[in-house]
Amino acid sequence: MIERLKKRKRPLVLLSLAVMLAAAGCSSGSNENGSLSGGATGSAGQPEGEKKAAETITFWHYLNDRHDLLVSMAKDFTDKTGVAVDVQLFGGDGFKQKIIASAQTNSLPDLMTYSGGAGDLAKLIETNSVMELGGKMAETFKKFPESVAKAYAYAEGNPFNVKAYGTYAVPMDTNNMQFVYNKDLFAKAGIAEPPKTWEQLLEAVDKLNAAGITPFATGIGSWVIGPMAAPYEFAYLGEEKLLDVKAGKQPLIGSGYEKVLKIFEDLYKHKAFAEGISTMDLPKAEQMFANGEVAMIFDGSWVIGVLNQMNPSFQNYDVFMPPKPSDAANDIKITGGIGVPLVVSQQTKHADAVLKFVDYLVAKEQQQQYAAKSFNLPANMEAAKSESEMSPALRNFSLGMQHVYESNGLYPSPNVDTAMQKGVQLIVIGQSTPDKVLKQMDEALQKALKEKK
Amino acid sequence: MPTSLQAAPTIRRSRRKATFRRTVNLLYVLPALALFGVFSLYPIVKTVQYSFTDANGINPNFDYVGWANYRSALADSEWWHAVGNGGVFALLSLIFMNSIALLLAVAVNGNVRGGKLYRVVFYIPPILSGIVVGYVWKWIYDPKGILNSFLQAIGLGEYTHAWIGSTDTALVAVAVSSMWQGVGGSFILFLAGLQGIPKELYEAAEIDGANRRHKLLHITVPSLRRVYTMVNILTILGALGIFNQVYAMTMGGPGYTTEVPALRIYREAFTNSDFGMSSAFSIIFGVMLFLLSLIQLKLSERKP
Repeated sequence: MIERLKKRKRPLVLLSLAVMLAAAGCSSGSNENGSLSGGATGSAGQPEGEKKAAETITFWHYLNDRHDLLVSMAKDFTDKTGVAVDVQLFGGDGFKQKIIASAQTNSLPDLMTYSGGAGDLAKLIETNSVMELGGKMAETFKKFPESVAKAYAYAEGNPFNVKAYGTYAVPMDTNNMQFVYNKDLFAKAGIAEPPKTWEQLLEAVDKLNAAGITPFATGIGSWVIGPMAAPYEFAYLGEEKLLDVKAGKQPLIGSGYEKVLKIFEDLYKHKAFAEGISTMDLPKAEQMFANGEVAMIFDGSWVIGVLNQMNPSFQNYDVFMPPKPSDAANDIKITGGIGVPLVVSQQTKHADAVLKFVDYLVAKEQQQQYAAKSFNLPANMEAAKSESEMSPALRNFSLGMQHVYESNGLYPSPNVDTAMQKGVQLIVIGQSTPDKVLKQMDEALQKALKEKK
Repeated sequence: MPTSLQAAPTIRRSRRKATFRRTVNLLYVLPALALFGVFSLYPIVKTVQYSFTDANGINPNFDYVGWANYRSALADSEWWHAVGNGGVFALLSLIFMNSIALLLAVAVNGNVRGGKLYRVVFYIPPILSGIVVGYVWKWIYDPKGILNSFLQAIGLGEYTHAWIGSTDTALVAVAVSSMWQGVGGSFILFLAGLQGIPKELYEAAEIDGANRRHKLLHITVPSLRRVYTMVNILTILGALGIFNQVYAMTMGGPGYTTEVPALRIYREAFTNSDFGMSSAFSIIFGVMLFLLSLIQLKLSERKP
């Protein structure tokens, strides 16, 4: 009888076990010890036997090259404050998507590096997912250059329609994008000093070609076209007109924008580009530069760390600002600002500890350590000024921060930027012209304006 | 008392037992049903819902925009260009990939030495990550990559090329990498089909004096009709839905040369933050693939 009962109940027992297992597998639970492992996830979990921390904050970032540094800084912070920090690395291009998915499910970490522009962050502000930091960390923000502190600040009339005005990201480092050149290859081609005008740049390209050196490469196949065009948008249109044109308040055609596109055509006509430029990504261009295969690249200040990793013996390079064309009426301004923005989740249960950790990361001592080990420009002005042993390239990148623009405007639809990127990819291989691309951009702009109405 | 009345409680008990067992059995299916509902059905329903909204993917509040996303999607020339590129991938795969897969399957099925090893080797590419395959081929196609180096080494230096950086070769170059990865999948299906053909048919044909070509054309090919249909449907769906290789190798460039529907859907969602538009493209694309599969199935049902 008992046997029969057992047999009858066996399926139920098995089913209950299966349900329990499934429930255990699906439950998110809390991760108070904060020691996740596996995959790309790293952890700053405490060694066994160490005293359990009073609280643990979770910090997500995408900085492959700085993970160990951040873990060691987090450990130091724990030693000083007793607050444990679970530093988790999610390298690769999917970090932004991970943040979006986490925001959708209200599962953002306490603290994260943000991957995206002010427009992207605006969407997280709209959903009340991230914390306003300007008020709570007013003293901390005084440590940064004004343009950098403002990069993720939303005031009345902001182009992203953010209504909850304030500042939502703390800069961990700064960066900007300029031309980087190989001094040895320039010398070999008989070029004494870096070009100061666009015309001199084209002359340098000719000399490099004559010496059998490939002049230039950059990530035309990825996202670099916008930042490379930006200085010339300011130079040819001027700030006010540029913002108006992008907002659709002034016509794009006839604005002088075709001259911006013409810089890519100039480079094509002078045979400046490395082979395969139209689908080349930035890491490939950096690799070519590190190996001495090209004389110039257009890149950000982070390239110093990248080059140091790729070819530590290659040090004889320097940086020059995008040279101004003689027919441009306005000054050059360059792309830059916050390199790594730190953003705090609105849902964090450890707000005080998180803000304390953010403050710790951007303090002078940590910023000096960060700059020395990662070759990135510190956001803290005191740390930036006290950096006495900067390489010429790092110093010139640092000086470039004075020329960084606050905003180069925003088209009503990203499709206009896409039209430009796709068009430039064809200009650089001689398959399209500035006029044609401008027309395609205008079509996308008019469509976006019509939809907006 | 009649026997049937005497047996009534027993019948009722056994019926109850059967119902109970059926209910318990249904419970076993529940986890699978729940997984299907959560991870397949719910996303589809949500995609349909989003396609009529201006959702940005983060904000749970959105407005309904009616058919606006669909109107905009259907009038988008770049979208149709991307669909056309997908069609080229599908066509090339149907012609070259499946022919190669069939020939390989016939060869391996013909008791060649090391047949089992070939079976494993040919199936390695399909189990690799598409992104990894994309990056490997990007490296092969590099202007200083092994393809150009090989051409130079054999005296064909004049044919070296920026394979994925040029509008005249980029699409075919990406298609080749996709076919290289996909050929193993078709090969395994063809091989399974070939192994299902009764040996007696070949023996009878041999007695009748049929040669290899006759057997291939009159026994093998007709017997593989159903396998063909399945392989073709899978090939078309796979080729039109290509994403990984394009993402890793060209990002749709130069210009829109290698733009494909999945990349456009991805860009709308994650670059433009327009989940509404992205969902509309997804639905249109899904319907197109469904119709294509249906047509293919109907055609295969016709008697020869």
